[in-house]
Amino acid sequence: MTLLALLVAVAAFASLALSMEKHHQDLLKKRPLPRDRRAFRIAGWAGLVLSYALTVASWGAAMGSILWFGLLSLAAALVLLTLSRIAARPSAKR
Amino acid sequence: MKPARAARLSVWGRIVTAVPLGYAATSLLVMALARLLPGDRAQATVLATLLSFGIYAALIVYVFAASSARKAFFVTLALAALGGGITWLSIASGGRL
Amino acid sequence: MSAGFRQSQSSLHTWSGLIVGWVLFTIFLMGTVSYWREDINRWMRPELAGAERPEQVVAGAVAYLRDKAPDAKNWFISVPGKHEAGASLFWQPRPVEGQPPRRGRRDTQALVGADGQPLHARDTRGGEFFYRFHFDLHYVPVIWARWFVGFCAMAMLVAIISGVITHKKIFKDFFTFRREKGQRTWLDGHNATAVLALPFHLMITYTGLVTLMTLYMPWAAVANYSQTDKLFDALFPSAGEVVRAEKPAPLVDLVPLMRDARARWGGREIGTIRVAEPGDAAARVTITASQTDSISVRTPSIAYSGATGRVIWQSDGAQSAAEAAGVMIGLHAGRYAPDLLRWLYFLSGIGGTVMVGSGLVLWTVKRREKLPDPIRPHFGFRLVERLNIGFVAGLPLAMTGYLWANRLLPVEMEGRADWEIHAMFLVWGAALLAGFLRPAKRAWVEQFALTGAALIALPLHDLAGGRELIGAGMAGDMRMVAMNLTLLVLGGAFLLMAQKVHRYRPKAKRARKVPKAPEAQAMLEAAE
Repeated sequence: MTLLALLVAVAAFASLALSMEKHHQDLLKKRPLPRDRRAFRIAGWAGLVLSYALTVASWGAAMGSILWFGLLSLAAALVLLTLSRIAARPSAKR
Repeated sequence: MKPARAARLSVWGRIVTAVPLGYAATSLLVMALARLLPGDRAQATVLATLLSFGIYAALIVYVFAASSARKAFFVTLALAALGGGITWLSIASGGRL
Repeated sequence: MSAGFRQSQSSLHTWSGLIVGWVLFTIFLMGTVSYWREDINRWMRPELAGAERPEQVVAGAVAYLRDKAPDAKNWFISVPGKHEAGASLFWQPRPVEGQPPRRGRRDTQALVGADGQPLHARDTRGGEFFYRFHFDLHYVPVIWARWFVGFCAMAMLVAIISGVITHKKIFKDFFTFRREKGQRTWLDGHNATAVLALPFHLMITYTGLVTLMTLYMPWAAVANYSQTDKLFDALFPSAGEVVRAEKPAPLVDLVPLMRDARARWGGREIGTIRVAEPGDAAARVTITASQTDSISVRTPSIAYSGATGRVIWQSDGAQSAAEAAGVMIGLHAGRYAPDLLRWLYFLSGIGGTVMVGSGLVLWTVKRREKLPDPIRPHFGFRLVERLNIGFVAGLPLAMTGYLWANRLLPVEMEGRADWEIHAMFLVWGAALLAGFLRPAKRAWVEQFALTGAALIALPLHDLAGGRELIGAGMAGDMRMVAMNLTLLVLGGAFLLMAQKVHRYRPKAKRARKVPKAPEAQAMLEAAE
């Protein structure tokens, strides 16, 4: 369950990244429409809430909340490193 | 006074205001808080102490954000006086355990 | 938010961070590895077998104490955790008329196993040294160290707050990490490690201050109490002083008391046992729950009569603010954390260490661009640049040296525990010196590479020695296997860093307003 919570958080952060101009452009090679940005943002926040729920369901409120922050940091770091690697690829350079 | 020297004095002034004077002001405010917080005295004491670091940090941030070093100094002094005054009055009227 | 406010916070951030940066780097690194201190303790005492059942170990401890210190005033027994071997115990000898009380003497403590015999392991401070160092430092009086560390922690708190205020695009830049862009990369790295674990950094800094709040902020107590003892009694009620009855009575068996306590607490593990006036009719056994089963460090206690085994007193739950304080200290110490969470603590701590380290390097990278004369930078810049090497690269090397000293110093050597620590400082001193004497970039590469190689060599050395380590692995001691794997991975990481620094060539700068003389440019390149 914890692994699932982590994966959901990773997906959520990826979605939040895609809701931002710069990262959307780097990843999908096109400018995002405002409605796309909104959709990704909502999906991203929803994913974070879901990952919180999954963590607390597994670990209880206190431990779960603390663990969730740790999972978030890990998930965000993974997304950040992946994004920066993709952005640094020669094909991404303009 | 040359502008560079004035700027350096201003920064050092803020440092003195923020660090030692700021600690004193924070301590006095925390004492006042410990007196004023309702409920059990032991719990009020602990709560005031827990908050103290946030108060000190906020005060330091203010001192460096204030429009002038002089203003920062007087505000900090005033906060110290406020804390000290409340504490003194409270102890004088209520005593300590 | 006005530009002026943001600018003031930016300057505050840079200066508050730099002044105490090296100390904070040290505190973060030492504190972070301390989350594994029990494992480091075990790794540094490879002679010891795995953990035994706590009840048996306590029985052994009592047998030892009965033999060694039958008329002590107090016995203190630390019940071993799941991954610890042996009970660490100490006793307070009966005070002699006219003599001042002796404190912390080596001859009133021991590490004892289930058979009642002292465990034979090399004398070492183990992981406890790293843990104590991060707030007590070393070679200086503890009170000075704690005040200094507290000052640095306050500066860290201010740096965090001002950092957040300064970072205008904190959410827009959340996922930004631009590689190979010089100063921008350092800035992004600093921002990323700061922001990604921001809740952790804020929590660890604030709760660190709270842990020593009675030292740093005693004034609230002064405001409400004429004597701080009264506050202490209100917050930590106890069963009162034990008055010796001068009537001998054998001490009850502690194991049933342990079982009773655990049953009353719904199965919680026991942390410590104190026996006051053992062998006397007024003897009292106070059992305190372990800190591993709740976030708060304020754990319940039960006092039993040492002569009859009857319950005399039980602690109440802590109230609101006191419980909050207990939780905050617990969050900092992380003793409640199961392994997964402990790894997250560790990774976040590494992130914090990298945050401080990258901040220190960023300072020099930014300033270097603005240097009027890059060949002879002014003293301040040189000092920061060279101290950065001695700390960011030198401290990990020194800590590895401590681990190596544990393996290399003769087991029977007198005072070897102290000498392991001296070894760390000797390596650190050499690293600091090398940081000043060697060309800067080469010094970075050398120290990172040396650290990497030394870390990797440790488990290899143990393997080559055959010995207890292989035995431990075969016995399924996964924790020691994990410890060795971690050393290998960390070593690899340092080698990778050495390689990155070695390969780093600063990009050609755009035309400067004041063009550098060709000789100056050539000398700059030769220095790298």
